[in-house]
Amino acid sequence: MSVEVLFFISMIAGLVGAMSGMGGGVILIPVLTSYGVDIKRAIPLSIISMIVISNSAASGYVRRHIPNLKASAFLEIFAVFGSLLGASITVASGRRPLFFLCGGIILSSCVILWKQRKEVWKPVIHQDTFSGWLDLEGSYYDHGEKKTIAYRGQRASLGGPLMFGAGLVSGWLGVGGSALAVLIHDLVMGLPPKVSLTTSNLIIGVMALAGVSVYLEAGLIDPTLVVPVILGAPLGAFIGAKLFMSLTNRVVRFVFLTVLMVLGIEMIVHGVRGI
Amino acid sequence: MNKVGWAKWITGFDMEHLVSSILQDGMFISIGFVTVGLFLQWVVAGQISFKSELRGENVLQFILGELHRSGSPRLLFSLWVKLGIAALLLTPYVREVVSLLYFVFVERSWKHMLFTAFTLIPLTYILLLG
Repeated sequence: MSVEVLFFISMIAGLVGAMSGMGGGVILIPVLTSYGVDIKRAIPLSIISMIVISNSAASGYVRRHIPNLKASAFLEIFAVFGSLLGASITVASGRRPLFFLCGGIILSSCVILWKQRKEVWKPVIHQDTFSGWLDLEGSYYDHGEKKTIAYRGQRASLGGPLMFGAGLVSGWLGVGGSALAVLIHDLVMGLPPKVSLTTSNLIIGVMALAGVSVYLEAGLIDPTLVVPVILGAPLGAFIGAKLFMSLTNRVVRFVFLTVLMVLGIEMIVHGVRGI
Repeated sequence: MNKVGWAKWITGFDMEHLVSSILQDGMFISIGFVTVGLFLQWVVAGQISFKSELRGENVLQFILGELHRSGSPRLLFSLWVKLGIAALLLTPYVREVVSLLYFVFVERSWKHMLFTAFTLIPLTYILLLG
């Protein structure tokens, strides 16, 4: 695969990743494997693209005070340990059942989100004690809706352990972990879609770093492939983050749903093909 | 800084702005190093494509090892490219370290300081010591 092609693909991955709160795996893994790159080298590259997209997109989101830093401090613990475990078992294990499982979870979440597509996000009225203790609340100015949105999170005691699963999937498969993280923030913890996506975008950088360090030790990272990703993905992420700011929460959810559907189908196909 | 100056500094401290700058600067440094590496490769070899491998090692060994091997001009581009990769990998780590300091000294939130420390301990081990 030429440097120019990988640069272009990485740019698209950055654009989609920044707008959907995910890494670039949904684009990179199928393209790289179709060009004959070994899946065990494609997964670390996908995880590296998560760091690139997180650094590029999250810098803009954080400056606008959208992600919740306190929520990320709590959720990252679980995500990092999950990612370390996932990456550690990649080399030794088969991934087929996990592809089916993760694809199934993602597609079922699509159905839930699709049913809720006409519902607007409703703020949490009664916050549980643990989420309150974690200071899981905040506000941000929504440029799409032109107003300040205040919110409170809930069920952090469930969201935290579930993030372990998101980290595991991310470290193991290189895709799906960030999608699960957004779903956990949105459906379980009741955060507004924009906060869910941007907090996920911030967390995936650290979550991916844990996974990458395991792949680095295993000698599975190919600098020849990493360079076009470092140069291409930030460009796409920059454009994606600019577009994201002007969208309403409803459109954000629609974009996320579309990418999620593609990802879910892709994972089932991976499971069937056995890669 | 005296007590009043410290209090003023704390009041006006914007953590989000700092985190954003760390992420952005880390990305720029990474892109800068990689671009210099590719430019050197183009100067030396007349093309930007290259073959390079990473042996199994942690980030610290990987940077130090590359510095030792960088005597030859032909390997200089590889040093810059690998430094770019290292800068990329260390950016989220630096962000975590700064968050920890923020929770300790500015926010004085011990629970969030502990959460960040729980994340940093395994990352430090695997990135620099493992």
